Amino acid sequence: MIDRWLLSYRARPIDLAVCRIIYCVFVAVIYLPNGMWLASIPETAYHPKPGLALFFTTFPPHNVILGLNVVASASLAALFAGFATPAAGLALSGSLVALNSFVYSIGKITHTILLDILPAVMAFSGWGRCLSIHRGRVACDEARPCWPLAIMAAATGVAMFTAGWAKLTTGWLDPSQHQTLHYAMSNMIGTGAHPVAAGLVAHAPLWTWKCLDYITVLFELAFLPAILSPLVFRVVLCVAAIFHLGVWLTFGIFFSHNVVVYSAFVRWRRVKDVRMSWLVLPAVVLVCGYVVTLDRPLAENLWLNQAILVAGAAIGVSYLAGIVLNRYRQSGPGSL
Amino acid sequence: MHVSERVAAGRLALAAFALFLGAQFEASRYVGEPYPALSMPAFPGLPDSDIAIPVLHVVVGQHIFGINDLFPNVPDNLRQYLGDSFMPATKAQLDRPALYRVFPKARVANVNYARRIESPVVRRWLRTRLETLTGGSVPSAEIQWVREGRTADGRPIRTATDSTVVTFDGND
Repeated sequence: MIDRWLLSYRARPIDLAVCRIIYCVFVAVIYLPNGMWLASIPETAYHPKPGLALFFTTFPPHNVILGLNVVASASLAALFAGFATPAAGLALSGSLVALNSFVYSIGKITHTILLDILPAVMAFSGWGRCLSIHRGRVACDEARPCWPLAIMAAATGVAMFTAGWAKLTTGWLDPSQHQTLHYAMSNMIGTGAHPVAAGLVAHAPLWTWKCLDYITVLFELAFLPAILSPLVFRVVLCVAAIFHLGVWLTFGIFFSHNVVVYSAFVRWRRVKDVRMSWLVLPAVVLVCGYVVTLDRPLAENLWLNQAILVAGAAIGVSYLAGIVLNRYRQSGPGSL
Repeated sequence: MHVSERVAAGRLALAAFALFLGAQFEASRYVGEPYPALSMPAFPGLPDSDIAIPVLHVVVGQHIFGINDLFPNVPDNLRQYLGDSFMPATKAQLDRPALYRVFPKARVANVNYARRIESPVVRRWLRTRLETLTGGSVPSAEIQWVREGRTADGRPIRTATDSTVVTFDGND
């Protein structure tokens, strides 16, 4: 039964390669270099969470952070080019986890774990077979069982479930309390009024906020059972992509890094014949984005974050619409 | 790769995944949320009430600086936490015995963290930063903590909760 589940997640190498390219561009533009600012803060801010950083008494020397960034960047370049992708993926995940262990040692975890582990989990998925400078043109259109996708689905399901469980057990379902409203307001106070949030806080009745509480808890809990079926899991991912767009519009919080991870599960049906020229535009964006953001802190309002969220939600809506339309066509107009 | 080899690799990965999850949940129980860990933001439930957050002001003469001035190179979603570096000293963070048994070095980091604004390291850092911001010598600064927010019925809250005057001597 476990074997059947592991092999129930199927993907074409070209689908996985598209995910690899999206991932590399996103990480280069938004994420790297990471933690270079640690040298600019007082070392008493070092207050690590349980993990790698607890083996140290303060932030590592700047050169260590620089070295980890060099390893991450070189691995990312190899991954993008499709060169030695298993080794590159493991090295990239290792360096990202090491970097974030120190970044989060100021006492705040920003929950980028799925983005951090994706290259390691997908290292043996064959996502480097297509769109690879190293391998040239290979057949990429045949869907094959892909256990790394099942593991990634489990990781995503567990991670989202933990968020839902924490809410379920701390009163989010209490009809007299309004948690989404509470966090919307405290976010407005902390980071400034977001137009959509300000409008909702001013005009939306309390029962709509309570509905959002229920929907959030149910949706996050649904992730874990959904992993049992690739189809259901994809449906939940579509809802999640729309949810993340809503969170950005309402709270100004970006979860574009999760949406990038969801791209591993997308079937790019129209993408069939692989051309290496497809790599040119992403390569230009990757290099330019990396260079332009080299000396800046992670800018949350960067255009790529917004583009990923909008594109993710659009793909989610079109996938869900496709399912409904297929059902409609199969069953006839009278059955809906 | 034969299907059997593929299945074997998948089983191995799943076993590693299960082991990792076990370790994660045990660590969460005894020493708090670890990193790396498969988790997403919890946003625990809170009672409907006044909503206010602590806001840091560092006052030097006519100048008032906030976390965005003090930490311009830090990603904006992490700045609020670095403001805690200037909180008054506390012993609360030292009480993590389960953590220290596994990670003895954590005690040193937490002693430093608990001292915070009393620490010469922080004072030296703050002086250098404020001199860069003001463009001149800074003999002292007042660190103010203000609760800012709004009441449940929409009225604004702005209450000073704590303040410390830091005087920099030649050693800072």
